[in-house]
Amino acid sequence: MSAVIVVENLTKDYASGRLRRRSYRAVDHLTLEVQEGEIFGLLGPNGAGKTTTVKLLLHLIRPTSGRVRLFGRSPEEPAVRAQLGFLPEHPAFPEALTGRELLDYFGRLFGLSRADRAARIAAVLRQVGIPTAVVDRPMRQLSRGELTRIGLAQALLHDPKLLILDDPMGGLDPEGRRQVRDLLLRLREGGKTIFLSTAVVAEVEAICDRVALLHRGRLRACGSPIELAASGEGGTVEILARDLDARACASLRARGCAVHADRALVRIQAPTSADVGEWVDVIQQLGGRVIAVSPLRSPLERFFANALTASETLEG
Amino acid sequence: MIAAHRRASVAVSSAPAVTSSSSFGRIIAIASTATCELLRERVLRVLILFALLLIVMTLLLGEVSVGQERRIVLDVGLGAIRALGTVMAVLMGVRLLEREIERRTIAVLLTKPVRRWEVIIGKFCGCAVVLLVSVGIMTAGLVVVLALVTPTWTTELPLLPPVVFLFWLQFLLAAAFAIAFSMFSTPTLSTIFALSIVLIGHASREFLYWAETVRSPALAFLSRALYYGLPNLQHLNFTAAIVHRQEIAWSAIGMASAYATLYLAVVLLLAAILFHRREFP
Repeated sequence: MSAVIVVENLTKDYASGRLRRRSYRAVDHLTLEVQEGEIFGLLGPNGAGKTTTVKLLLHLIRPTSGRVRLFGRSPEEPAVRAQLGFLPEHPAFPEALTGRELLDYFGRLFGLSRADRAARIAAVLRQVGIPTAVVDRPMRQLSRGELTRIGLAQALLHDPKLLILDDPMGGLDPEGRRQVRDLLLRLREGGKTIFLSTAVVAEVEAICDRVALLHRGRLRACGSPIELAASGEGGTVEILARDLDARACASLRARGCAVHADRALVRIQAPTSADVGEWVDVIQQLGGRVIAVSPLRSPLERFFANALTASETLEG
Repeated sequence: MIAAHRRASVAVSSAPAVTSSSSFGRIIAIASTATCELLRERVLRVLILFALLLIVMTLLLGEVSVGQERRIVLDVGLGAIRALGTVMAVLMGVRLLEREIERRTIAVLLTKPVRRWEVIIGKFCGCAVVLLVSVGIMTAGLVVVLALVTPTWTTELPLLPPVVFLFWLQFLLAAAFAIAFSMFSTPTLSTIFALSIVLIGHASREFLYWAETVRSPALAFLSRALYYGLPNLQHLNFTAAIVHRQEIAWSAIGMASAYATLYLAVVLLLAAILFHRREFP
């Protein structure tokens, strides 16, 4: 496997304040590599510098220092951009055009013949699940979710090797999110490299091979979701049980659980530093019956929250 | 190996034949899309209608100026084409890229394998086509009105094309300035700047006059610099010749066209440099 994206010591400062004398550092000495064929998640809260990083990767803005290489070359080169597809955070396209006209236009920019354009447009529309009626409407009449799907279609149109997606699930309903997740997994199967920027931990957990945690422009952690989750304190599960008396609830509280009793039903929030099965055993030993177990906060979410708290504490 | 096999089985199905498109092909694609977008603009259609209305109204002016109908129709009609064509050119020039930048639609376009100068040239060409269509419609309206007021209207016809062609070049200059200004300024200021250039361009001989009459050498230098630096749009205005039925020499048209083309190249180069340097945060 070779590195498709190489980011070295990347820093981006924006001038701010009166007379632009002060500067704000959006990305701070970021170094990372994305390998061919993997789904790489750039995770961070709002304002972490994710979109700035994406724009630096695409050469929409220039770095203050450091460098970006895509396929070993500068993203400034049109030949490099011919191999990537991009979906912006808030997909926006010329409003007077229909989705089909937009796809045809972009197909022409890639030098696709008329027949290839028609075939590819039909194929990507099927891939992203857009009804024909939607693509023949002017863009100004489309919802955010429909624009996201058009955005995905234009990113896939020329069958790029690399996809850079900034919040690809934004504006989609749960079914749409599931479809996009499945699509991204299929694309990885097909050998695509996917760079995904998101603030939603569940998305990263579900599909990413590796994840980088960004906060205040700095890389806080990088690794596979399993590695990162294992290095943290575990997550939280919610257990719904019945037949637990006051003594049993007190015992659970003493073991670090949050317990809310509502008549016969008891809602228990238990940390999963221990095995979930152990909690089930404990509840049964205390005379309770477990009705349901559901994850409340995954280990990666817990890791994410702890890492952000730690970086905030360090920086005061 | 399993991964490689999987990869092959999924990727082959619908891979397109991506060829390296030429600059010309990309410019044509950008230009035709820009043309399509501009032709769907309501403001453009309103301006063309307004120009046609003004041209038709010259019939009324002709009625009150006995014996001068032809002259009034040509004078006011060509004036309407020039004024509204300039407004159209400036509005289109400002909106073409500024709107894409403001709505952030430019970000996706710039991630395609296009060079930034190709975007500028493509958009400008789209604008040029729409201006040509607009000038054609307005000129056709003028010819119809002219036919209604003068039986000798066919004699005017050979004189009209060079005059409106040079109008079109003026509009292209106005649009190019508007595009260049929109690279670093707000839409309102860009409109004001571009319209100011056009107004000054029509009165640039005044700068030469001031340069010769002012006492201060600094002011004289400044006036001369403005005269030579800003476009002299009077070089592209042959309205008086057609009104007075004077033949326009082909050499004069050729010189005027070359002057406008050279100026256009410089302004578009400037716009391309500004666009190349611009960031899209």
